[in-house]
Amino acid sequence: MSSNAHDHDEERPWFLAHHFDTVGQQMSSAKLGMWLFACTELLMFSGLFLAYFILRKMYPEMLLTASEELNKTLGGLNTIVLLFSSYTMALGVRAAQTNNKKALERNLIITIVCAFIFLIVKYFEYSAKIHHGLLPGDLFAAAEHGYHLPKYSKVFYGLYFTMTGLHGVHVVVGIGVLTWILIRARRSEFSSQNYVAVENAGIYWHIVDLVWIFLFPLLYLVK
Amino acid sequence: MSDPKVFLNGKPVEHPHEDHHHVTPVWQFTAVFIALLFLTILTYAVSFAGLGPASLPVAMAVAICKGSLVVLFFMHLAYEDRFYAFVFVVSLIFIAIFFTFTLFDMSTTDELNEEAGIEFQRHVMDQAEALENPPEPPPPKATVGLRPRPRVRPRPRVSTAAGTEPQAPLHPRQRGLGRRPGPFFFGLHFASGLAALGGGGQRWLRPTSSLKAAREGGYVAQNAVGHRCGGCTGHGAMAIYARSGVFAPHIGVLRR
Repeated sequence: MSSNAHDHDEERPWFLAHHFDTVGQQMSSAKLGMWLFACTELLMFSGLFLAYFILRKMYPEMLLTASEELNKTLGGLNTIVLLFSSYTMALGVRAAQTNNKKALERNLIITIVCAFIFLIVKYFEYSAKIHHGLLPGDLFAAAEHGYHLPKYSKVFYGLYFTMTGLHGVHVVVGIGVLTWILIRARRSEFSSQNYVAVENAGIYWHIVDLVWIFLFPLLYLVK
Repeated sequence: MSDPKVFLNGKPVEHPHEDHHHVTPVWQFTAVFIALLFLTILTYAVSFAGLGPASLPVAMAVAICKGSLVVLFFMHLAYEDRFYAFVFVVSLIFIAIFFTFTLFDMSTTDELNEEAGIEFQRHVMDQAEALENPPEPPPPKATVGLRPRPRVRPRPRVSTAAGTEPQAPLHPRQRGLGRRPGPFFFGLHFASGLAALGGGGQRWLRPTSSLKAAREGGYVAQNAVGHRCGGCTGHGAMAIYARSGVFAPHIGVLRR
C-alpha cells in the first residue's frame, strides 16, 4: 500500500481495521464473507433435506406413519418462537443503525431468551422421543413401548435427530454469537457507522430461522 | 469523513463502490412478522385437512413464501447490493441441480434394475419376511380421520417363477438397451448436442481434442432408444460422457 493510505490516519475511526481504506469497504467485505458463509450453510443443510426426500421416495408409507408420532403443536410453537426471535433480531439491527443502544440491548436479550425457549421446547420433545424408544438405528425400541411402526422407521428417526440436532447446534452457537454481540453492545461499540457485526450476527440468526421454516413442515406436518 | 480514498494496487480509485445504509421502517418488519405468523398458522391448519398427495407441494409453497420474506426483508437482501443476491441465488441454483439430478437418478435406476432383473437385497428379504408372517393390521389409534391413505403402488417385479429357467441377468448395456424412450434421454441427447455444437458449448466443455480422438477412434454413442449416432459433435461428446462413466447407466458406447 502506498504512503497515501496513511495520510488520513488521524481521521480513521477506531473501528476501521488497518487493512481497509474506508468503513464502507470494511463493511462490504464483512457482509460478502457472511453471505458466502450463509450459502455454505444452505448447501450443508441441503444434503440432509435431499436425504429426507430420498427416504420419502423409497419408503413413503413408513415416513408418513413414523412422522405422525412427532408433536405438531410443539413444533408449531417452536416455529413461532423462532419467527419472533428473527423479528426482534431484525429490530435489533435497525436499533444499531439508528444509534438506539437501549433498543439494541433489549432486542438482543429478547432474541437470546427466545433461543433458550426454543431449546427448552426441544428438550421436552427429545425426552418424549427417548422415553418412547423412538430413536435412531439400533437404539430404536418402539415395539417395546407399544408402538406399531413400519419397518425402517428407525431410519426416519435417525434423520429426524440428525436434522433437528444439527439445527439445534446452530441455535446453541447462535446464543453464543448473540451474547458476544450483546457484550459488545453494552460496551457501546456499535453506532450507525459501525454495526456490521450486529447485521452479520442477524444474518446468521435468520439462516437458523430459514432452515427451521423448511424443517418444520417437512418433518412434522407433511402427510 | 473528508473524502476517504480507496486504493487498488497502490492506486487511488475514483468512485469506490460502497454499500449504502438502508434503514427499514419498523412497520415493515412488523408487517413481515405478521405475514409469517399467518402463514405458519395456515400451514399448521392445512396439515390437519388431509390433502393427501397435494400436501407436500402446498407445504413447500408456503415454506418458500416464508423463506423469501425472511431473506428479502429480515436479511435485507431486497435493499442490499445486488451482488449478495447473486451469490445467494447461485447457491440456490446449485442446490436445485443437486436435488434434480439425484432424485432423477433415483427414479430411473429402479426401472433399469427391474429390467435387468437386479433386485435390492432388502426388497428380497422384506418380501420373504412378509410371506412368512403376514402383518397384523395395527390397532386403530384414538385419533380419527387423520390417518393418511397409503399412496404406494406395488411395483411390478421381474420374478423368476418356479419352473421357468432362471436367466442370467444381463446388464442393459449388454442387451443393447432396448427400452422405452423417456423424455430425459431425448433431453440429454439434445442438450449435449446443443451444448457441444453451440459456440459457448465449445468453450465450456472443451471437448475438442478428446472429441476428435473419439470420432477418429470410431466410438459411437447409443442412447437408450437404441438409436446409434457418432457423426456429429454432439454425439461425439455424448460418447465421451458415456465412456467417462458420467451417464453410463443411460448411454451405451459401442465401437463402430
